[in-house]
Amino acid sequence: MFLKRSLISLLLLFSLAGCWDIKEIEDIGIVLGIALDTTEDDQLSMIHQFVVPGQIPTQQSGSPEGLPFQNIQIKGHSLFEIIRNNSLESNVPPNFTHLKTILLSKELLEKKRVDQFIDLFIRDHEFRRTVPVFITRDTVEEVFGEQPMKELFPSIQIKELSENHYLNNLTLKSLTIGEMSQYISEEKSFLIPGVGLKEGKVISQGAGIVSSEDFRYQGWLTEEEVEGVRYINNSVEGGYIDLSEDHIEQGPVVLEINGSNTSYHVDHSGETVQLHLKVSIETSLAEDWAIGRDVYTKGWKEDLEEAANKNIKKKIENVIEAAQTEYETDFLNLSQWIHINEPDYFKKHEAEWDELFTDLDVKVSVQTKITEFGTQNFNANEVGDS
Amino acid sequence: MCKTCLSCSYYNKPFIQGVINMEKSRLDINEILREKSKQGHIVTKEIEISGHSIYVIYMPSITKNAEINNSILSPLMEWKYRKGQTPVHTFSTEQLQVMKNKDELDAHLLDGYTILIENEDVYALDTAYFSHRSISEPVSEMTLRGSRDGFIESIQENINLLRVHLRTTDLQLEYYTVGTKSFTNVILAYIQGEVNEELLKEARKRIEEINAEYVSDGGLIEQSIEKNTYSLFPEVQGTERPIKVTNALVEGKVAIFVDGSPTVLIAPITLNSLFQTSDDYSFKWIPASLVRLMRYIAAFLAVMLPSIYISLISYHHGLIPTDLAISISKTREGVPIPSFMEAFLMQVTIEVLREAGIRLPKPIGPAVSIVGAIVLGEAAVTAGIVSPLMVIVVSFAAICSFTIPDYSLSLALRAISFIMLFAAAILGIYGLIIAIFLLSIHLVRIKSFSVPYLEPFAPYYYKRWKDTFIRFRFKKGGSQ
Repeated sequence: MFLKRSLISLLLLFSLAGCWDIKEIEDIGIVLGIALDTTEDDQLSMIHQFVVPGQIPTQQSGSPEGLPFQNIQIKGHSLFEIIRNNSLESNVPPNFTHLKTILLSKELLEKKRVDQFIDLFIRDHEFRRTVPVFITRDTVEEVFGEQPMKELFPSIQIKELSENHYLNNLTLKSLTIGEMSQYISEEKSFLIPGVGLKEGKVISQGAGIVSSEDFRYQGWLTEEEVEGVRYINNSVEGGYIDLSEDHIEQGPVVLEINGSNTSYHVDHSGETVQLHLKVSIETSLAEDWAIGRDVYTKGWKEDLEEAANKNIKKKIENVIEAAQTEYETDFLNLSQWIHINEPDYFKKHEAEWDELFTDLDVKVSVQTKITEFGTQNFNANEVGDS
Repeated sequence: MCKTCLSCSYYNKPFIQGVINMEKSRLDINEILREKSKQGHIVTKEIEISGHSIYVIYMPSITKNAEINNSILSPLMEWKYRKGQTPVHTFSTEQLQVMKNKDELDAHLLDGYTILIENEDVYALDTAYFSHRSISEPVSEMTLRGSRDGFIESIQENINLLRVHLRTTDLQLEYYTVGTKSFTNVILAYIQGEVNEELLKEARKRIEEINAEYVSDGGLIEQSIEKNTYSLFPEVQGTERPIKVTNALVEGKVAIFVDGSPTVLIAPITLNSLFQTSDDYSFKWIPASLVRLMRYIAAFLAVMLPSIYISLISYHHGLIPTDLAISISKTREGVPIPSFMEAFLMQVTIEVLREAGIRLPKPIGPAVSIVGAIVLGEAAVTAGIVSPLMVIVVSFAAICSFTIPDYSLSLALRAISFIMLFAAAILGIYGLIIAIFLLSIHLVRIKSFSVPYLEPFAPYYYKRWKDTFIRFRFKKGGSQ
């Protein structure tokens, strides 16, 4: 009897609970991207990129008229206020579990501290720590409003562009909101991968510097500088070395990078510290514009390698110089190598590191190796370089 | 010396006068004749042979008329007087059975015997003919390879089939009669030496404890000997394939044959044994293991897939990959009912279709599948009542449930899939986990004839995992 009663009350309990937490998937607004900006009167502005499922083209019905996404821009004093005010305009509550991109405008980063407005994204459980963050110098409305050709949603396009970092060294690896919070906790400067508009299309473009001093925007790195950063951070997985400007005899040459490794050596003598970056790159001959060149000519390979060494070394040194003299910020994270190799020294000078960094002696040596030559026509006629 | 007949086993042996007469029956002949001649379905004949008056009684519906003519009436007619002999001496002592009382006489008459009455003596001769269908492949248990014979409704034929596969003198058969009205013959079969004494005792006890008036099928016996009456899971396995029974007997299990039923019960069983098919053993071990593994996965999906889908799309949207989430969101747009109700209705529809398919006569069967597939599936989606993904999920779960070899288990799992659906609808994945815990608790608790149901998983016998998720290879030079 007791068992029966308890069983019945348990079943009734279930019916009482009902489906209290249920939220059908079509009743939520899937937010794929967030873009943050400031307005002229110093308010925050936030764009939610909602998916509009009805406008997604299918095989049967073909492509519908409208855009498959809806950008809702709302202004306010706090981010949470803006999120909740979405409900004034949109019938579905935003759901951020599928967030793909957080886009920040340069102006926002100039006016507001990153560590302040990032708080919501770390605190709220619906935001994942793996969402990548991007910075743009163009207006965020335009970047988010441009429908890509193949991809349906601009936010996904931006995220997927950043995943091409193994093909090209001109863009940075993506920076997630989790990594960003880590930098902020460690009080380190960092780079945010940039995106921009070029002829109406969204492209990966340079990077923005955020200084640890006040966690605000400090400057913009060009693609060439970003390439140097990638060698310094040991994050090169592929890409190419274009030697067309290095005056290789008979015709320009392009090398494909198969692998690269950067090792860090710290020489500490007395009060001075010297950082030595050793970059070794493995490449293969990707493209050769000189028809009929005998790649087995003695010394030619060494010349090529030497040219590549110079090319890369210059790029690396340019970035280091920019960091030391122009921005006076250690966004390259060179401090961690000093910290690892000379912990005592670093601890002693941690407070004054920003000043010390500008005078840090950084030596760069690059070692390029060509291991593959590929196939070429054997008896091609020499046409001459006319 | 007896030289009465050549066919008799007493031929050329010392003649013992009155082998037959020694057991004189004490029956009131006149009363029997009066009673039997009144019943229309019993034939009573009186034959006069050389001054001897002989009565022949039989039931024509269950006897072979030709046999009565050829081996009873004709020899009697040709009987010639010899000293000290009566017409009954035409038959050998083996053929004749002496009836001692009326109950015995009735029982033999109902078994198809022909009753001979000579003077005060009553004898019975076997002329039984019970019709049964010929041996055919069981419809509910198909196989690709291996023997295709199936049990039929005659218990003697079934034992015959069993002997075809199992020619050992260790095979023991114990006869029982069950049912206070139906007097159904039940045989408990086991192999001496293989079977566990405890199990045997338990089986005997449970058969003797059966208290029923009328037993028509193995399924009824199954339910009357089961202990876990509130459990969804079967405690004994019913099969129509002799090879399954022989396999079980060799493994030390017992089999229960019921007269008039093609279903033979095997006990004890484990959840694992219900997933085994005889095909698993007739193919090479790696492909057979893959098929076995797939069957386990299919069973899991049959139970869990609709409920996982429900909990994902109504509670945990973040767990679905973005592209899939967007396309689900698109397909569900405009569906007027909540996803739980949608899944529930689809599941019910499929159960109805499945049941209808069983009941319908064979020529109409395909019509149901056409109506089910086209009208319900296609039209419901085009009308926007259900989402296409839900149709895929529910129908795939249904197809998965068809891979389960044992029909009782398949029924059980289908019932559980509804419980899971409710759990998922109320509390999402959290509810599902609770339901799985409850199911696990139940499964580890139940036993089939004192054998834990989840053996060898739950009482953990690693060494016996060789025939669970995978079917490990046979040892060279021996089986298993």
